[in-house]
Amino acid sequence: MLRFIAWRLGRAALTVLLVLVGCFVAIRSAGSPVDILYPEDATPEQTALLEKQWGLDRSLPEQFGLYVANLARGDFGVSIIERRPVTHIYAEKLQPTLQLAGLALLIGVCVGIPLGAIAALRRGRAAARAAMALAFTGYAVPHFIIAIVLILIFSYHLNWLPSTGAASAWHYVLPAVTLALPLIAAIARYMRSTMLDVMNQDYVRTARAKGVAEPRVVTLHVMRNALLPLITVLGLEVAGLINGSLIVETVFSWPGLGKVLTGSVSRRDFPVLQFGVIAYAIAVVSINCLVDVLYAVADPRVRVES
Amino acid sequence: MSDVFFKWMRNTMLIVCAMVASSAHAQVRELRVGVASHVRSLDVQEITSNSGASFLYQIFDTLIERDNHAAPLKFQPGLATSWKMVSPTTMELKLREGVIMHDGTTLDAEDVKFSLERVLDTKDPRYTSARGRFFYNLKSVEVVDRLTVRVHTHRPDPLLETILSARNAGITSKEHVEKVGKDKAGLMPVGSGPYRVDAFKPTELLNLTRHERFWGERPPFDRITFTRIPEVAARITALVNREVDFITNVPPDQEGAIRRVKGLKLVGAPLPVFHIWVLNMSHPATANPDVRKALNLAIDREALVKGLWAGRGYAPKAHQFKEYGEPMFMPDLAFYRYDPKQARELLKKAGYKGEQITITFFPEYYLYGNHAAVAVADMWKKVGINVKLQMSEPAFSNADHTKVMVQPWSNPLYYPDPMGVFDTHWSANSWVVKKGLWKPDHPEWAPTYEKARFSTNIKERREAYRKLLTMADAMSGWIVLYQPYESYAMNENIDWRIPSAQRPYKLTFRAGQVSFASR
Amino acid sequence: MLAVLMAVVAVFAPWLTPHDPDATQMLARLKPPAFMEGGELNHVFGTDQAGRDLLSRCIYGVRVSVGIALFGLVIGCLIGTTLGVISGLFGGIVDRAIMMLVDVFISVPNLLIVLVGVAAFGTDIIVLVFLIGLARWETYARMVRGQVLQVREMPYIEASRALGASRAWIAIRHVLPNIASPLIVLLTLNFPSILLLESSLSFLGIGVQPPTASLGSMVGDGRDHLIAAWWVAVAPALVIVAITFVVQMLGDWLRDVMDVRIDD
Repeated sequence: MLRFIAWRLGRAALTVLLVLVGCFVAIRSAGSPVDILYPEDATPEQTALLEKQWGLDRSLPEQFGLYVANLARGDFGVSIIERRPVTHIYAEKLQPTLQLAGLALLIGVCVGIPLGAIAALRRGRAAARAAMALAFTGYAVPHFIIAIVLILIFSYHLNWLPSTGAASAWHYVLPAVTLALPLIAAIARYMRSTMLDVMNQDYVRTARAKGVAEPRVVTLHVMRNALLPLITVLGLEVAGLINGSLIVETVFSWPGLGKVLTGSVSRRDFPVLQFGVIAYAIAVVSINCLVDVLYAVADPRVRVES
Repeated sequence: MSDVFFKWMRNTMLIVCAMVASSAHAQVRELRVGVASHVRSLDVQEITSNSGASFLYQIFDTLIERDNHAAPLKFQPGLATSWKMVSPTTMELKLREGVIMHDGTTLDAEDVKFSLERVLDTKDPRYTSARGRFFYNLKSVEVVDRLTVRVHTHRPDPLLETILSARNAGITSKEHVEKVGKDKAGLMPVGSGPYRVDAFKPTELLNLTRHERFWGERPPFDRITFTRIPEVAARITALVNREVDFITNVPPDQEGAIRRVKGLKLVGAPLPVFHIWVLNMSHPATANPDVRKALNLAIDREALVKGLWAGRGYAPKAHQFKEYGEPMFMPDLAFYRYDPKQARELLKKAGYKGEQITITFFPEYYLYGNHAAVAVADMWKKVGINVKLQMSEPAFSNADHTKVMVQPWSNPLYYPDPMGVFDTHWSANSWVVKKGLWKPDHPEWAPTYEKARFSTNIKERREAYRKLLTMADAMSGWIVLYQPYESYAMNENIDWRIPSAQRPYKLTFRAGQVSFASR
Repeated sequence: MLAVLMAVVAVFAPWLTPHDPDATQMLARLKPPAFMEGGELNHVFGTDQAGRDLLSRCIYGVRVSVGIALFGLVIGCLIGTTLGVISGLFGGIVDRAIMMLVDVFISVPNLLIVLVGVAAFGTDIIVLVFLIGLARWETYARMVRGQVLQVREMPYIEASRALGASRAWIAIRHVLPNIASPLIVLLTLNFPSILLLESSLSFLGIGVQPPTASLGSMVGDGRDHLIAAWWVAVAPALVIVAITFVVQMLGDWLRDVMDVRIDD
């Protein structure tokens, strides 16, 4: 088990390293850090400081080493636009993003699992068809369309729910639902197909043949075996959730990371963009890593395979 | 994940409790404003943008203030209680006694010297803009005693009072800036105005609360929040949905969405501001004056005003505003016209061979600037120009200006005088000159400019100004698109007027300037 | 059926559109669709914020968005398939290195990759196609590698290897035909997400630049007029939904017909 964890952690670390290389290369191909950081008029002191900090007079591998060393010390640079450490900016905006994504994940799981289960158990009936149609729609409609439709209906016309910012609990409803809909769709689809698979397994048939009551078959045998692989799927959906949150936060003026990140692209605020990408990558990598470890704990076969 | 959820649950409960508590406490008078654009700093000497004008006036006082509506300008005591010229280049000002600033310190002559003189530091790029607009004639500020200062200028300045009443001449606390440094002071500024900064998230949110120890009359609100809502439809939705009480920058074609809702109203005007495109005279693609003239002639301004501003904006014929009044406004000046045929001929004469001309545009900063870009691109295409559109973002724009061909800008009227728009944008000290976008190469330009700006003979200033405009048209270094028609929309119970004696986009929320009938 | 229609629209856009999609008419801005009061048959879907014909822009939007998505899809597929085949055939350290790369791409949200790319290289349409192509190459790599590993164990491959066939020859002759049908299914299933990626980027304003119509940027521009003129955003939004819906169904159908098992 320990060996598995160590192996998995190593892989995660390597992934993060590759992300760092990618960021470094991308930022370097965008131009000299001096021009990027002081596009207007850099004073000679500022230029000298930057050159020392980035080691611009040294070889590229050395520069990369220095870059990683700076990051390791927690020095992610200062926002070009806001002139304060990027870590401060993100610290301020982490919570709203986590809350929103967390809530969306919760809604996705709470609605998606029953929906998928219904679709599998009541196969061919109207309820199942409706559930799957809903899931299908959630899959085909992008976040930004869901968002503007919800705002138009619930904010402008009905005046039921707020549309910008995160000032109160009500402000969470529309963005969370927007973010959750495609997630519900993904989970429901997945749940349905796994449950159908599981229901055809021998042990379920055996249980039925033995005369175990249907609800018991469903909960004890089918659901339990279908839910386990769902953990892995959820781990993978986190990446999709982040894609979505970038859009949703922009549309709803959510005071979170998404707006900071998308804004940093058009403002060419590279320190902000870079930290965002690294932070998101680390988050996703560690979640996936955790999921794999948990899964290995629950299902020993995985360990052997790897 | 569960940790996050508990935290979320706890916060939700707290928010609900706070909501219940605040509804019980209905006495807090709060104004919630949705603004189209925000600022990255609140350094009063740094921020010269249209967006900054919404905020700085609530936080900072100037030595001399203006009557918000009087024409011609009427000056009033601000932090200075009296002032007089003691020599042609020296003004002496007596400061108000006992002005407590937001950090608890008392305002004195040192604060004034510090605030105004830091603009003159040519090494600090953050003050380039304000220096070029207002303060390049300032020489120094002398502390006579604790409550007396003398402002020295290089040349005698007919506009000194006007300039000292510009918000960029606001006074900040020297002690505070020296303690925390310029960057931090820009994020958490200290002024002496009726509201102080409670929370500031750059480019996004500003919360102000009433300054309890303000020297003047108690302001009408206990709290003001400014939230950035960049899209027009989102601002309107927020207002209609009662998420905010007041929104800025509503174009005529979306007024209907406000009008059909009960309890809301619009306050609008054709603002004294030109939406401008600067044609980079240093870029090879726009270096030829004939090409620049052709670009100017190919624009149908009437169509833009009718289409984008429902006919309520204004298509000017020269770079001047009616607001100057007599004698500086010259109705006979007519430079701008729509003549695609001549545009084509000029292009031919210039030997234009389909070199790409890129229009940089900001999607939200200048209201409907994106639509203007699309429409003009089409007009230019029709006279045979190879046009490309490039989206960018302003204020934060750290684009390399040597690569820009067409740069969007606005020329607001800072004070009702030709120099209130001309000197504040096109002087030899302005950033457009520093970056080489605007290169007035006519030998007469500099001496004429000197007369237009500093002559004390009003007739001479007027004739010099006429000559400047004629020369500028020959160089064709910029395009005046139009004066937009923009409205503010608000709850019906807010009584507020656009302050016509102040620069456009300025919001005035001090005592006597806005009232809030109880609901 | 609808899929064919979509392809026809994309290819024959210049002959189908009633108007030039980029021709502005300042005096005919925000005209409602024909069925509404004030609408006219000349502009069936109405006009947008610059007075351009929405129907024509939707048609061109399909061409641009679908075009970018298709090119992106092909690039991703080529990269993924090549690396997948190499990974499967060579095994060992090469295999590990490639699978490592796959891991990286799975764990980094693809919108982030595109954002970094756009910030570094600008919003040129070719850059965009390439970045979008990068977005899902790992799905092909994994699938192809799996198939190769299966095929490699087949007796006839062993036989041809014994006869001295090179690895490249084996890949072309024996592996590729075998992966054709799962690849087609995977391409179809990936198409909607690629299209949505492009639309999302253009919606945010960092994808296709104006005045070129892309379905996403049209919705993004229309958002500013959502209340006063909802059709500007809704018309392209409906087109996006219709396309993704149809292709999604096509993918599911193909999967069942070709009897391919792919996790999505």
